[in-house]
Amino acid sequence: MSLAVPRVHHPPSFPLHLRLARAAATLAGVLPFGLFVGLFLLLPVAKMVAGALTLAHGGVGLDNFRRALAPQYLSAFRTSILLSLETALLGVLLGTAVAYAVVHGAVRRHQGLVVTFCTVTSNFAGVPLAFAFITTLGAVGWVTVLVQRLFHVNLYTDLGFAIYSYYGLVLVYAYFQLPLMVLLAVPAMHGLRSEWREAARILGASPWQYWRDVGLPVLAPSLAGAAALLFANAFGAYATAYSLSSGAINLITLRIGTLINGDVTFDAGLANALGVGMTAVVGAAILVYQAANRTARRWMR
Amino acid sequence: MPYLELEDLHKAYGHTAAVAGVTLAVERGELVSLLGPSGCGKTTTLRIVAGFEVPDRGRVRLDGRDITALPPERRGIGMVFQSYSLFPNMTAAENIAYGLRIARRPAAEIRRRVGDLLDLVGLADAGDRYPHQLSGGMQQRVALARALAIEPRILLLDEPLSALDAKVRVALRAEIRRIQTQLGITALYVTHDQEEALSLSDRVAVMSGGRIEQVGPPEEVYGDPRTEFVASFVGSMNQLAGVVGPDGTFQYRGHLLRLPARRPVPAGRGGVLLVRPEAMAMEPEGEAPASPGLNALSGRVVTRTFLGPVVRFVVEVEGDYLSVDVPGTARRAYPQGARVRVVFDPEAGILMGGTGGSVRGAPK
Amino acid sequence: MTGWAVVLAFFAYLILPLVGILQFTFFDGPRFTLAHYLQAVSDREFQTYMGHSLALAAATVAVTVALVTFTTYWVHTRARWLKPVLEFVAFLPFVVPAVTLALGLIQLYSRPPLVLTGTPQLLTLAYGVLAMPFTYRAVENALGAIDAQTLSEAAQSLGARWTQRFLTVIVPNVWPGVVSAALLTFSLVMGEFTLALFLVGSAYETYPLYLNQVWRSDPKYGAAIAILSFLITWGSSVVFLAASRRAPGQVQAALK
Repeated sequence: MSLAVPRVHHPPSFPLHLRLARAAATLAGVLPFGLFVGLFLLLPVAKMVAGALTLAHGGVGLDNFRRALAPQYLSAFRTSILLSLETALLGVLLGTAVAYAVVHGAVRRHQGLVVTFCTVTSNFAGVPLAFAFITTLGAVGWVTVLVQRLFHVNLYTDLGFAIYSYYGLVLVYAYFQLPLMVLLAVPAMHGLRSEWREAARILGASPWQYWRDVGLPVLAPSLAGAAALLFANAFGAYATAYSLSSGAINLITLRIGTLINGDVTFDAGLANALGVGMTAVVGAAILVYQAANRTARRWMR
Repeated sequence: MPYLELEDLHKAYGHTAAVAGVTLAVERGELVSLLGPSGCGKTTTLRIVAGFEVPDRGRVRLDGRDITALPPERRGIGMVFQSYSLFPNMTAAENIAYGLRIARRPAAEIRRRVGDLLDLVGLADAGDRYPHQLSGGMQQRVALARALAIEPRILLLDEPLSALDAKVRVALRAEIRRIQTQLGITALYVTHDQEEALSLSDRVAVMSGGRIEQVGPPEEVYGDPRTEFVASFVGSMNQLAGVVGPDGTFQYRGHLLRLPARRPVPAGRGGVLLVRPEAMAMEPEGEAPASPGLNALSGRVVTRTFLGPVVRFVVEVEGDYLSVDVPGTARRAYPQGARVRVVFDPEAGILMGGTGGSVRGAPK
Repeated sequence: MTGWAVVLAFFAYLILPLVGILQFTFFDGPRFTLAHYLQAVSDREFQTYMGHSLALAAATVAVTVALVTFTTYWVHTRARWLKPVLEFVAFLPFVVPAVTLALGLIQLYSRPPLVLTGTPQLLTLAYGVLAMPFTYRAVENALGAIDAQTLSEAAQSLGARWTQRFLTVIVPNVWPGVVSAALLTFSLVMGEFTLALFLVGSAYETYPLYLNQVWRSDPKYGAAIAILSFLITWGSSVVFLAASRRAPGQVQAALK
């Protein structure tokens, strides 16, 4: 009796040329988008990085970065970062409170209205916003005048307030930061399950203990992520600051703007170095945002 | 004296009455289920006992004390929610410890208790895991341990197994029952799954439309339903609509049947005779009649469904479709279209009034 | 109680500047007047530049939404493995503030052979980049919500080819996401100042640039056209919403 040894049978694989054709067709579909992103986002950024590393008299080096660390630019970075941090913090604190009231509090029923309003106002930045604030809190703005009339206190001469000062900027930035925070915090608030609150209650916890032990810790990643986004948003803002302060406040976006539009010949190296610096700061903030969101998503499932 | 008393509870939302007069007494150490379809008021009732809802009318008494106005955190009650109730930012052990932490128990005691409870629910190695790292069944075990940690006077469970897979559900419900009897803790259990209620409880309270329709041990609720709702909700039921005749007879689709001897009912009224599918048996029509005492209906096999433990036949009797459950091990084969005789003991029938409600008078 | 107080204070803060700008435009001293608004009617420049902005917004919406929707669905169905790349790329514009993007674009496209600065085309594409994250997010959410995978497979089993599936099954069902993306893009472009300033300046002046110019010389008029543009943006959004309501899909619920 012979034992027929069966031949090992390899199933026919998909022909190579067809597989390549398939892959090519797939990539062809993303080509338009790829071109778009490549030409108008990636290339400009690459150009900026390359330009930062290109020295004025030819060659490659870090001299531009050294120049970018000159006192006035360092100060601009500091001011921009401070402004962004303060408005982010303000946004987080106040925006969270509003979001909580909107989702869990008494105002629950009007959630749609509030969210729509916030969507609109978070876009009302730039020139019109600066404008609106000047007509309101400028030297002869209606609130300034009202306060003068009612309390006999002049915001400008007595309290040293000015809408185009640093704190004026904070106030104006808050106008689009707060609604943005509300929009970001509302979904996070929805993630706070009522079961947690009830379980904590029945285990004996007071409202304060619940917030301390469960509510805030669970919200923390989402809020941190939102704060990072708010920071990035404020840091990159140009139009509002430009319209309001006309360059009086030393912000990094304004500095770069001046370099681009300057009457002197365009100092590409410096501008690019500053641009790279800006992108790095925003990039760091975005990384924080991404990390925070990952944690948040894990917990809120 | 009953340990937990619900006295004439009422709760309405707008114009809808969620709870419309619920009265229930639970003895110490008893597990009572509130069983009913969604919207019957069982969850609202539970939440009133927990303190998350305040009744419009009525009282809740625990161990003699009126707790109706007491906030949840002061009631000394343990609660297991349907799902998602574990604190996501704490490990299983920290979750279980939470109530004890709030009660400011010494750290050593907390550690010991958490360890004991993890053992009790069979999760000795999972203490350090976060909820998102635990399966649904494990999460509910932790939730149970957390509720028990504070040594509550009563345990409330709001459909704790509904969100779990079938197999996990069956295993876990046995666990819950075991732990409950082991600790001797009084428990109120809400569910829409009648198999769950029947297997777990000392007594079952069947609810509908905000009211309790019947309370009793599982066998009683199953075998002796007082109302049509209870009869149809708990287990499946054949409904034979006909007319009550003289001398305890019942006219059904041209068949003369005998009613159970228990209570004589005046003749001439319409009624529905309820019979469980498993109380019925089948014989081939040609065979000599099995026993003269049995009710017999002649019909035709329409479908045969193999369910594992039983084989369910649908038999058409004069236009009506009846279900007959035959043990899966029975050898007889009844092909589709075969003419058969469906028989059942008259005592297995339950007579109801034709338009709902019981004709059988006051409950025993 | 405090909930109401917080929200009302919030609303008050948001309304205040609007009140300011409104009373500024409607009142010359104590006298009510519409003069500043009427000025816009005869202002050729305002109308031209507003037209520019609207055209840009429409073009950006068309290009971006079409491109992003198509690409997102393509990756979803034909190149799942590219999904992480797409997510990353779609997020990238957030990391590049407008000023720095302008910086890079100017250096690339202001010299021969490729002189694109000063053209509305460049501006449209740059706006497309800015709007991309929002557009992608909106479309991606919509695709997820309708379980595009299952719908595609169902259509496929019924014989529909890729293009058919895209146009007849996917687009109608992600329409709410598409509409929301379009609205976001539209309002973004209408208000955008930075890129317009640096990339085209006066070569193709847009409304925000004009506004900036005007309010320095004639603040009352500037404020008036700011309000007008707000209304025009709102009005266009409403018209667009109404027009798109006739599109199939769960538009009503999603747009709330």
